[in-house]
Amino acid sequence: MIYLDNAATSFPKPPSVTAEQTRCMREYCGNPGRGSHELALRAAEKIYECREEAASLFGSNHPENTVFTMNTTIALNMAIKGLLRRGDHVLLSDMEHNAVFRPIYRLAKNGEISYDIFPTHVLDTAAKAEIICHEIEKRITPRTRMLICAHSSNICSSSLPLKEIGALCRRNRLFFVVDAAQSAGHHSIDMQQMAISALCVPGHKGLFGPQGSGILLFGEGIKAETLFEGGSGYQSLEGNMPEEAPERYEAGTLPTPAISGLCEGIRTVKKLGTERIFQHEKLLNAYLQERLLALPKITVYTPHLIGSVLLFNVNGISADQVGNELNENGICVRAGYHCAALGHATLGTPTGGAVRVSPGIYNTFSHMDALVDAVKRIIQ
Amino acid sequence: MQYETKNKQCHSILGSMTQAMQAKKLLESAAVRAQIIKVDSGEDGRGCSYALSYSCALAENVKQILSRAGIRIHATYGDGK
Repeated sequence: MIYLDNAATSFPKPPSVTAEQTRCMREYCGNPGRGSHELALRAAEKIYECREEAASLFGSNHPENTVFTMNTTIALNMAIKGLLRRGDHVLLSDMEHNAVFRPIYRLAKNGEISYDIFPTHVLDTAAKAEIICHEIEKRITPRTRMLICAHSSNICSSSLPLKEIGALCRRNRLFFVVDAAQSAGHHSIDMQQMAISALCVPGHKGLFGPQGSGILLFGEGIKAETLFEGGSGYQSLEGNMPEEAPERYEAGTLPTPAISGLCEGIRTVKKLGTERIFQHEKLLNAYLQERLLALPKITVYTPHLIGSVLLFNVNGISADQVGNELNENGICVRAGYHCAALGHATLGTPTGGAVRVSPGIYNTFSHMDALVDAVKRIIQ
Repeated sequence: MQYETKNKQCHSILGSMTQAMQAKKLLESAAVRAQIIKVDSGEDGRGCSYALSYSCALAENVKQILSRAGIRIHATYGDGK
């Protein structure tokens, strides 16, 4: 089996990740922050270790602002609904995943907020940052309170200039919320340099952690309303959630085994380096694109952008059919709309969407050759 | 008297588990051994809190290290103050 769906979830996981999860389940899986006996403390130590690893990976000096969530979607919902107030205006990009678009859409539909979408033009020019910032500035109103965008698209290799957008947000006193679902572990992210108010990160994609692990990192001084309330192991006689992060945002028991694995995943990323990981994926996709474009009946979307994700179609055959036939050939890719209606509309993919290939650090050129051979058979 | 002070344990209430963990790590980096314990927050009546337990002989040192790092101690017990 050849796995090329790392944008959905990375696979396989580094051996250190699975080993630590198993060790946790066997040796120290107490309930962190719910007592001070040995196992509770060992679990809490591991949780704190992971907060520190995550904070340092993303340029934050505040491990206490690292909030564990189940996934990026929950982190995004917490940031969006915790920071926005009735009457606020929000800006989002034309490449957003439904994890961003749907919460915003629902709030707007209920009349609580309004929003505008700014075009990113899916560019690859030196003037990209300037053009995008100009588009954003045109749409800022006195009511605009938040700008939210995906750092990297989940359907093509487009990335946004976070440093410039962050500076613009800082100048205009906007919350800058970043969906790093596709960029965490692939691109360098520095929350301070990029003036990020809330960074939403999956544990199970580029950070190599298990599913069920996600992170919401708040910038310094950012405090949100809570989306969930419940036990925090602290100030138990109070009706309100604690004021302090991270306990304020972490109602209920944390998934210690998942977080222990994530901790090792983050260490793997640090060891390998995000640049090296990205370059490996980019080389594989550049090679794949060249070989695919040499075939008849192939459309590759945004061929000028080569990175972690490649999107294509076999003309005249539905994306789902291509995906199913690749699966029969032992190749895992994802076909369809990838929960990104906005992005597919921006790229102009046909009904049925397209086929996404997302290699990871464990893929090789021979995997790309196998994919091309399988696509050749489908075309014939 | 000196001997008694050295062996007496002081408890400083920090707040949440994360705050206690942060303080513990900081003390460890200054070669001060402390243990996290769970306590009732006491007079404020808010319920569970976490504290650091350490030798009272180190109380001044602990206070200084945490204060320099901006970590607030809600209350300290056991040092006779």
